[in-house]
Amino acid sequence: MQLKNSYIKISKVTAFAIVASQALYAENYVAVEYLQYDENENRVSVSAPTLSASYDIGTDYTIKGDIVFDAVSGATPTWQPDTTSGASKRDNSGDYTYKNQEFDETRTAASLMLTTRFENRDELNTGVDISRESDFYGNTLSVEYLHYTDASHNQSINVGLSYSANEILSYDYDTASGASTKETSTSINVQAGVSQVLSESSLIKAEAFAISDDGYLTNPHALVVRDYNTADQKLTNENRPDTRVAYGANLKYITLLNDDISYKVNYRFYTDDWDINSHTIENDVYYAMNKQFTFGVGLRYYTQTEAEFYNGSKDYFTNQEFASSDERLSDFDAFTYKASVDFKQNDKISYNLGGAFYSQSTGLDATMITTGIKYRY
Amino acid sequence: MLKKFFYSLLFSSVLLLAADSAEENQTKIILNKLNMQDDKVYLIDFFASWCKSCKKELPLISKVHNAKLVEVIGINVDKKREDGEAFVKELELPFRVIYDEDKSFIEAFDPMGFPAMYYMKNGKILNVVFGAVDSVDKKIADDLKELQE
Amino acid sequence: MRLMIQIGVLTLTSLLFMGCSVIKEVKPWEKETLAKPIMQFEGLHPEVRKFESHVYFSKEATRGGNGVSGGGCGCN
Repeated sequence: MQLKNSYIKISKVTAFAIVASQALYAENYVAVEYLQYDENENRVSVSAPTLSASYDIGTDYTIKGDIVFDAVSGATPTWQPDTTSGASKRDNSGDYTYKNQEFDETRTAASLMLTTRFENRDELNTGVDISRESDFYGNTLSVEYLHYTDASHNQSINVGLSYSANEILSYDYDTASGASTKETSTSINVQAGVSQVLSESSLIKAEAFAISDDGYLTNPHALVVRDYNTADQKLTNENRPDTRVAYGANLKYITLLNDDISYKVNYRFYTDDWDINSHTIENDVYYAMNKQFTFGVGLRYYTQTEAEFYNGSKDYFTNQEFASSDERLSDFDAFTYKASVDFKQNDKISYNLGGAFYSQSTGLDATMITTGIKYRY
Repeated sequence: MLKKFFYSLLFSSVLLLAADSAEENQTKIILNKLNMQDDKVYLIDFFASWCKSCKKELPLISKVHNAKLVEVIGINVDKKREDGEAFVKELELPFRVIYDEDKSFIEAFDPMGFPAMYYMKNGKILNVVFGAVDSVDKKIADDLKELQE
Repeated sequence: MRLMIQIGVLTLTSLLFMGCSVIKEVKPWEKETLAKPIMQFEGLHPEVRKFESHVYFSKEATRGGNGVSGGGCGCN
């Protein structure tokens, strides 16, 4: 076609214009979100107000950040002396019961990410995450590079790397004083993926990841019973291996079912050298009823196998090096049922309300309520 | 055998010529619809309501048009014309807008990026700008100066 | 449950292979649908998604696959 031909002729002398293609503005916003999480039997309750913001600096940089304040209160189950059988805390002659141990905790977590876009519109994301609790300090640095493999930006590949350094206070249950020791752990996370636009209304993304954890990976609050019903019987801190290597893959697909309804499915496979394998399937459907209201429903299914050093009984562990009765390392599955509604008052202001019910086969049930307001400018 | 080959070659050439002339006709139709005066530089801006960059750039492009630096012709490529019309109304675009519902304009230009701006004169493309640009009004002024040189 | 996983894996694998054979080149101006908020992998609200991930991270023994950013917590 003539238009194209003349463009081609011209392109030789205006090559600069062609490389400056595909720049896009993101969206500047400030959002406040309030998140409430409550477990059954008055176990853990978390209130978490979050402030987040994103700002474009021209077309080449976007800076994004958020800060969340968690107030956690409640109780988490672990082995404890059974006071009804007459045992006191340090008396190893009595019986034990698996019951809730009370705790209160506050956590402040913040993250900052800078996106840099290059002339060919490839992206570099550099991020910092920090988490502060009275007994946990965590810092993470991450970099991720996204490269478009075609001019129309229909296919991209990405590689990412992060490094976390954590400080954990561990409490020695065996000593009468319950002295705490500062322990450390590190984590390296590597990820690579490919994203492909399949059509005007569908997109697929496949990723593989590897995680290597090193150091103190034990839950400082979880206890196990050793040598039950013998002269040596005692309640003591659990002990997990000090390395953990995990691999996994993630496959995501999103498509438009009709003009207003989208369907998204995400499958993740995970395996590690503690013998834990997991499968996660998440399905989400969004319905944009009109320009103002969008409704969402979701169903997530999760299943995992138990860690090789896990046992939930009080009469199992003797002198094994590694031992844990933390039921999060057990064999279980879980469902999450989600629903949400979004109301866009105008181009600048929108409100959202969401609810989710999470149910584990371990007996843990929880509700999550999220509500927020977003201001775009 | 040779005869068959010759005929098929002839047939393909006729088809190609027909396709070429169909494209040429289509180009003429497009240029007619753009209705541009001879010897005058125009800025053809392809945009859509779903394009966030367009929303940031269009007020600046309107400024350039109002300052009479160049005449802008906007081409809206929204799937639904009413979405495009609402967007044009919201931004109060001061220039002529063509609603490209059948995609004939954008397919003819076939830009490699979006949004897309074309500087045109006498039915020929002088320069192109693809993607979002910081301070697009300044960029247009600079480009026009360069084109005049 | 195993059946559910198998069906899921099978569906996604077939989608991937179907996808490979039906990839259609989408021009930059044809991305109206892909630009819709309901077509984003992270959902309508990345903050909510982050909160959910945090809950799963603290209540389940496995993680990964959702980008490399994000720190740990003393919750597991």
